[in-house]
Amino acid sequence: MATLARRDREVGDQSEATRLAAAVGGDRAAAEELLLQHQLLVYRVCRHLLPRHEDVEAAVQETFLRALEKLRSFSGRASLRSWIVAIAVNLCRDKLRRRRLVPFVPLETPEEDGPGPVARLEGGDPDPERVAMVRQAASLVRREVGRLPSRQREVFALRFFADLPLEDIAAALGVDVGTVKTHLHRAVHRVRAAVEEAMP
Amino acid sequence: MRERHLTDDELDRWLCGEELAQEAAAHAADCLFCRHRRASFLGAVAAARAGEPDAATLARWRESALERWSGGRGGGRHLWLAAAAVLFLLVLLPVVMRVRAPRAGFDAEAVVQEVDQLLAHDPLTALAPEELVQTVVPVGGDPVEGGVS
Repeated sequence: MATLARRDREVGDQSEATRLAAAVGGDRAAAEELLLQHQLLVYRVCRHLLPRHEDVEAAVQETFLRALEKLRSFSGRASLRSWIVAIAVNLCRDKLRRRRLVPFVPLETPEEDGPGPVARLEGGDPDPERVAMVRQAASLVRREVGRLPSRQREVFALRFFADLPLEDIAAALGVDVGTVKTHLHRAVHRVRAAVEEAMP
Repeated sequence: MRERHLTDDELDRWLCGEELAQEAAAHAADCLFCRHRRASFLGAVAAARAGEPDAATLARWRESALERWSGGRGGGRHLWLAAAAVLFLLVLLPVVMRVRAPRAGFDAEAVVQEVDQLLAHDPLTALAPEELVQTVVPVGGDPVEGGVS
């Protein structure tokens, strides 16, 4: 089983390397494949690091473009995933720096007016009371994450919203895994405490 | 088995994906209360994460980046050509200007003086060779009969 998984991973790595080489050579289809593969990840990172929706859209597109332009310089020391995340995080930091006078107020989900994502999350017919609770919890988490110091917010977003393993977070942020753990622990403590206090 | 619930610190470590001490892990595996605390937090985080752009929006963003990327690659070549043209002009223009500029040391005043002296001495020699002038209009002689007047 483990052998099969390893072989799948190797085949995946090979096809990614092939796509990468083709994209570096200017192959548009290969470049699009790479974007397809990472688009949701890039979106999640930008969405949870930037308070303004228009900034999120711009940051996602700029990340795509910068990644394609710099593909040639990708050394392969880190995974392609963490390399692209590093680009996205740096772009978000730039945008936040330019808007540093604007306090970080996290985005609300556009569909929150309707029962869409929450209902999907809960599955089946939504119980209005339960939907309201989940929505309140979501708001709380977003607000508390928005209040975190920037490095803790980055680590929390990459771990819980982008689902990155600690090693990839460390590579993307250019720090060691121990530092990531420290920031993550502090961030989780603050967010969890706030959620439990508001919704015992 | 340990009966005390997980402390906040242990719960946070668990949420961060760290391994718990054996006793704490054994307790967490069977304790509904501790499992509920963990699930509540993860559920709230999952709800906060919900809401992603639809496929059409993502495709538009992708397409826009790809267009700029393709254009940028062609644009880069054009930029090089434009830069080469500017460089060529910068090098060529001074050369052309130097060729067309009046030669250094050209003294217009001296030329005018030379012409004046020549005309004052014998204006006709300025127009035709001296031999021809002597033939047609000999100095001190009468003009030839029927000659050119």
